[in-house]
Amino acid sequence: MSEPDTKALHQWLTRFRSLASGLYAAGSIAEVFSSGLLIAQATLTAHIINAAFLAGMPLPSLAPELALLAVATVARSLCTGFLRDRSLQAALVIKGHLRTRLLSGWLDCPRFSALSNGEMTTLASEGLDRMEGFFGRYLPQKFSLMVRPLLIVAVVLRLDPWSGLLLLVTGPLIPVFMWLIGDATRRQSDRQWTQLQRMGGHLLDLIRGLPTLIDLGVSDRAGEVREVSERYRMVTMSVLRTAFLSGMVLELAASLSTAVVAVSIGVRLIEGTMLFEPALFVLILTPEFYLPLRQFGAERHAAMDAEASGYFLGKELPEETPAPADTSEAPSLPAVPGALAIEIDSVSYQYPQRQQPALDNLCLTLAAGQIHVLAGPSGAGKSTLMRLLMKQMEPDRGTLTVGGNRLSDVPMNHWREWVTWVPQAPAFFSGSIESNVRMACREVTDRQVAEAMRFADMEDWLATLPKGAATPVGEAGMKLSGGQRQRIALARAYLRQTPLLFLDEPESGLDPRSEQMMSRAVRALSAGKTLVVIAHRYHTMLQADTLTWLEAGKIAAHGNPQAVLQARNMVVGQQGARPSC
Amino acid sequence: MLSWYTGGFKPFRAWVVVALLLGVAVVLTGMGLMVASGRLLSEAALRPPILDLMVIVTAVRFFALSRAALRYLERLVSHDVTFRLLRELRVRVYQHLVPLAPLRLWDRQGGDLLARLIGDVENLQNVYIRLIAPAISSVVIALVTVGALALIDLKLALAVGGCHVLAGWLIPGWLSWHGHRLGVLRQRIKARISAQATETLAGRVALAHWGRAPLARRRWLRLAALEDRVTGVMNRLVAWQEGMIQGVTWTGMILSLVFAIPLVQRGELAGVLLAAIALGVMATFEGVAALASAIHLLGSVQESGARIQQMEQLPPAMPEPVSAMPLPDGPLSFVLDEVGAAYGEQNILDGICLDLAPGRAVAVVGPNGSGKSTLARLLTRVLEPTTGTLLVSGVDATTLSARDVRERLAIVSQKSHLFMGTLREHFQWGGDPVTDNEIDQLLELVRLRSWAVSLPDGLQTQLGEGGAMVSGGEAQRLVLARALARRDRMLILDEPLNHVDPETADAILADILPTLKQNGGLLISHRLAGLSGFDEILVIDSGRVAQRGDFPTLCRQPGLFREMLNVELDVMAP
Repeated sequence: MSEPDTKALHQWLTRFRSLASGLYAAGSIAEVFSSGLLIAQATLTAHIINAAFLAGMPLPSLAPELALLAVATVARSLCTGFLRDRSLQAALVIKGHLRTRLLSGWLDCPRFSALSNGEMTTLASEGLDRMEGFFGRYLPQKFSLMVRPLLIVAVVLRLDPWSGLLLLVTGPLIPVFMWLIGDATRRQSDRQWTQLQRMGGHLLDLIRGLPTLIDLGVSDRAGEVREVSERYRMVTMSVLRTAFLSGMVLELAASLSTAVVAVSIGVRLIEGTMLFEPALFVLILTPEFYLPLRQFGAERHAAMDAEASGYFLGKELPEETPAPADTSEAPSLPAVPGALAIEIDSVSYQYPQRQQPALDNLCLTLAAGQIHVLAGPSGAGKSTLMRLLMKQMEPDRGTLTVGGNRLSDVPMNHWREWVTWVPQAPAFFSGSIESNVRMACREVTDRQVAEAMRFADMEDWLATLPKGAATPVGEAGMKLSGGQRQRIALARAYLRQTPLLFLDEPESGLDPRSEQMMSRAVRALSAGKTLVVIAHRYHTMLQADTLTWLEAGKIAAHGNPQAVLQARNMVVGQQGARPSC
Repeated sequence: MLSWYTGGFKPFRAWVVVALLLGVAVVLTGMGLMVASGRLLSEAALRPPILDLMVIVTAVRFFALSRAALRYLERLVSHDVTFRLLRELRVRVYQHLVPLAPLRLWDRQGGDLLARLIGDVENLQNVYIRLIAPAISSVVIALVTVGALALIDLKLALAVGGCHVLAGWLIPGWLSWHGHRLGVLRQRIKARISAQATETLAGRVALAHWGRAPLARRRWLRLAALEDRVTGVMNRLVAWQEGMIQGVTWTGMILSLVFAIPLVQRGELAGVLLAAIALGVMATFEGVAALASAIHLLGSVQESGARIQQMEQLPPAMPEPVSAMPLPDGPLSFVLDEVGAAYGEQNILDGICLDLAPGRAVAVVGPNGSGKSTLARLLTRVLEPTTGTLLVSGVDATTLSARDVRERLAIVSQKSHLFMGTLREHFQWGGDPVTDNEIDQLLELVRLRSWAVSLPDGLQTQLGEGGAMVSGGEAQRLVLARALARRDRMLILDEPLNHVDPETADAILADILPTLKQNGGLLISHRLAGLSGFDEILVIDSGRVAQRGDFPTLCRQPGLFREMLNVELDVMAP
C-alpha cells in the first residue's frame, strides 16, 4: 500500500484554516487573555498566601486581593469557554464549506470516482466529522502551545532565572524524547501490525461466516473466539507497553521538573537569596507550563484520524467550486434539434492504476437518425465510451464531435438537454411513482406524464394499486420489481424526447419480459433520433443499423449487424443469432 | 445497562480493583507532590537548618517519580482489564448470535445486523476506561480529600467537597442531560441524511442529467446545516463546561484559602500548611473532573449496549424441538406437500410439492425473486414452512433437530463464506478429514487444479482477507469443492456457479451430476443449458410452481421455460 504523504496532507488541511480566520482570531485573542489571566491568578494567590502566612494578615484585610482573584478566575473561565466555543465553531464552518464543495463536485458535475457509493457516504459523514477534531481541537491546541509556555517562561525568567532556564531546557526536550519513543513504538507496532490485523480479521471472519458455519455444522466456535481475543489482548498489550512510555515521559518531565523547581527554590529560600512570594508564584506556574504539551499529545491522534480521511478528501474535492451553470444559448446548436451525428476521432482513455488502456485510439462515425449498437465482451470499453459521451470523463487523447460541435466545447447544461441516458440499473428516489417519472424532465404537463406512463404500459399495474401513481416506491425504489423499474425508466425516456438516446440493455438474462420491453423501446423511441445501445442480446443487435464490435478498447468489427455477426462465426437466423458449433 | 456490563467483571474482579486503586493513587500522588512542594517552600521561608527539610525533600522526589510510574502502570492494567472484558463480551455476543443465524441477522430494511453489532462491541470498550473507572475514582478521591480536610476543619472540608460535587457530577450531569437529548436528535438527523445520501449518490448521474442536482444538493445541505446547528449547540455546552470546570477548580482553591486563613490567624492551623492545602486542593480536581471529558460518550455507549441487549433477547431463528426425535438411519429424503413459506407478513412460496431422495437430481429455475432460495432454506432447515407438511426421512421435520438434518447435507448457499486460512484448512472446514490427494481430486473437479499449482505456497497459500487474491468465480468453485468434500451427503446447491464462465460451469455441472443423482440433490440454477440430465426441473414463478418435468418435456411445452431458454440462447456470452 502506498503511504500518503502525511506532512503534505497536514499542510493542505491547515490551509483551510483561513476559511474561519475571524473565529480563529477571536479564539487566539482569548487564548492570550487567558494566559495573561493565569499569570494574574498565580500572582494573586502567591501574594495572598504570603500575606496570610508570613505577614499574618487577617482575612478581612485580604478581601480586595481575594475579590480580585475571584474576578480573574471568572474572567479566565469565560475566556476558556469562549476560546473553545470559537474553535469548535470554526471547525463547523470549515466542515460545512468542505461538505458543500464535496457535494457540488459529486452532484453537479458527476465524474467517474474510484470510491463506491458507500465509501462516498462515509466520507461525507464520518470523514468530515473527523475534521472537527483537527480544526476544533488540534489546531487551537497547537496555537496554545506557542503562547502559554512562552509567556510563562518569560515571566519566570525575570523572577527566577534558574527555574526559567530549567523550563527552557526541559520544554523542548520533551518533544524530542516523545519522538524517539514514538519512533520505537512505530517500528515495534509495524512488526506486530500484520499479526494484529490478521487476528482482528479472524474474529470478523468467524462472525461474518456464521451462516456458513451453521451450514457446515461447525458453529460452536466460541472457544476459538475466546482464544483469538486472548491472543489479540496479549499482542496489543505488548505494543502498548512501549507506546505508553511516551505518556510516561511527559508525566515524568512535568512532575520531576516541579520537584526540581520546588527543591532548588527551597534551597535558595533557606540561603536567603529568594523571597517566599516569587517562589510560590514559580511553583504554581510550573505545572501549567507543561499542561499544553500534555494536552497537545492527547490531540495528536485527532490529527492522525483527520489525515487518514483527508487523503480521500483531497482526491474527491474539486479544484474550485464549479461556476453556476451557464444559461447562455450555445449558438452552434440548432434551436429545434434534429437528429445528431456522433464523430469519434482517435479517442483514447486509460483509468488510473490500470495497465491497459480502456479505449485505444478509437475512430468511429455514428450517422444521425440511426440505431447503433455497441457489443463485445465485458471490459471491451463499451461503458467507458458511454461515460465519455455522457461527459463524465474527458478522453486522454482525441476528440468527440456531436452534430458538428466538439463535445468539450458544448456546455454541460446544454449537453444534458440533448441527451437521454437509460442505464442498466436506473436510479429511483423515495417519493411516488409519478414523481419518479416526472423527475426526468423539468417542465412537463400532467397530460405528458400520463401519456408517458401509457407509453410504458404502466396502466394495468397502476390500476392494481389503491393509490395508483401516487403509491410511494420506498427508499431508492426498494418496493419496485425489476419489470416495474424498467417501465418507469422507459416512461422517463419517452418524456425527455431528446435528439440523442443512449441505452444500456439490462442483463438480467432470465427474464423474458425485459427482453420484449427493450425491443419495443428501441423501436418506438428511435424515430427521428440517434440511438446508441450497449447490447448483450443478438436480437437487439440485429435491430441495429450498424453494429460495432469492441474488444480490448479497439474496434474488432463494424458495419451491418448480419455481416459483423457472421464474420464473428455467429449463425444468424430468423429467431436471432446463435453461436455456431 | 451498567449492571449488565459490569456483570462481565466478575472473573477478574481483582484486576479491576487494582486498576481502580492505581487510578486513585495517580491523582493522590499528584496531590502529594503539590502538598509537599508547598510545604517545602513554606518551611524553607522560615529558614531552618537545611537538614530539617530532608524528609520533605525526599517526599517531593518520591511523589514526583512514583506519579509517573503509577500512571504508566495504571494505563497498562486498565487497558488489560478492558481487553479481557472485550474478550468476554465477544464470546458472549457470539454465543447469542449462533441461534439467530442466518435469518435474524438481517433486519427488515435489509441492513446488516452483524456489521452493526461488531461496531457496537468495539464501542463498548471505552466504557470501563473512560466512564466507569473515572466515575468510581472521582468519588474515592473526593472522599479522601474531604476526609483529610475534615480533620482540620469541617467547613473547609464541606466547601471543597461542594466544589468537587459541582465539577465531578453536577456540571457533567447537566451536560449529559442536555447533551443526550441533542445527541438523540442529531442521531435522527444523521440517519435521515444517510438515507438521502445513499439514494442521491446512487442516482447522482441521473440527477445531474435531469438538471435536478442543485435541488438534491440543497436538500442534503439543508439537513446537514440542521445537523451542524445541533452540533453547534452541543459544542457550546462542551466548551462552557470546560470553562466552568476550570473556574470551579480555582474557586475550590480560593474557598480553601478563605476558610483556612482565619484558622491560621487563630493559631488552629500551622501557617506552613496554608500553601500546601491550597495547592493540594487544586491538584485533586484533575481526578475529580475526569468524568467530564468522557460524558459525551454516554449516549452512544448506552445505545450500543441496548442494541446488544436487544439482540440477546431475540428468539432463535429456528426453535429447536424440546425433545428432538432421532433422525432415522438410512438414506435421507425430503417430501414436501403443499408447502408455503413467508418472511413475516410477506408470502414467498405457496403450494410447493417436491420429492427428494437418493437417485434423483432435481433442478429449480425461475426469474429473480421468485422464491428459489427460500425453497433451499426450507430444506436446509433454517426456515420453518408456514403451511403444508415437510417430511424428512418420513418424519415430521418440526420434531427433528435442525442440526441433525444439516449434518447429513452438503450445502452451498448464495452467501457462502470463504474463511481466512490456508487452502488446505479451507477443505477441513467441511468437517470430514481430507487427504491432500482428495483435495487434488476436488480441485480438479472444479477446474482449479492448475490455479492451485500456480500458487506460490501450494496448499499452504493463505486465502481470504489479507491472503491470496481469489476472484469471485474462484471463490465460488472453492466453496462448491468444500461442500463436495462432505462426502455421501445429499447436496443442496443454490446457484453454485453463477459467477463462473458458462463453458466451465457446464463442464463442472456435468461432472458433479452423477454425485447429485447418487446421493440425491437439489440445484438452483439461473442457467438452463446443462439441465438436460436432471430427473425433474421445477419452474418457479412468483412463489408457485409454474411448470415441472424433465428438460425435453419442458422444451416442447409453450411457457416460461421455453421463453427463458430462448432469451438465454440469444444472450451473448459475457
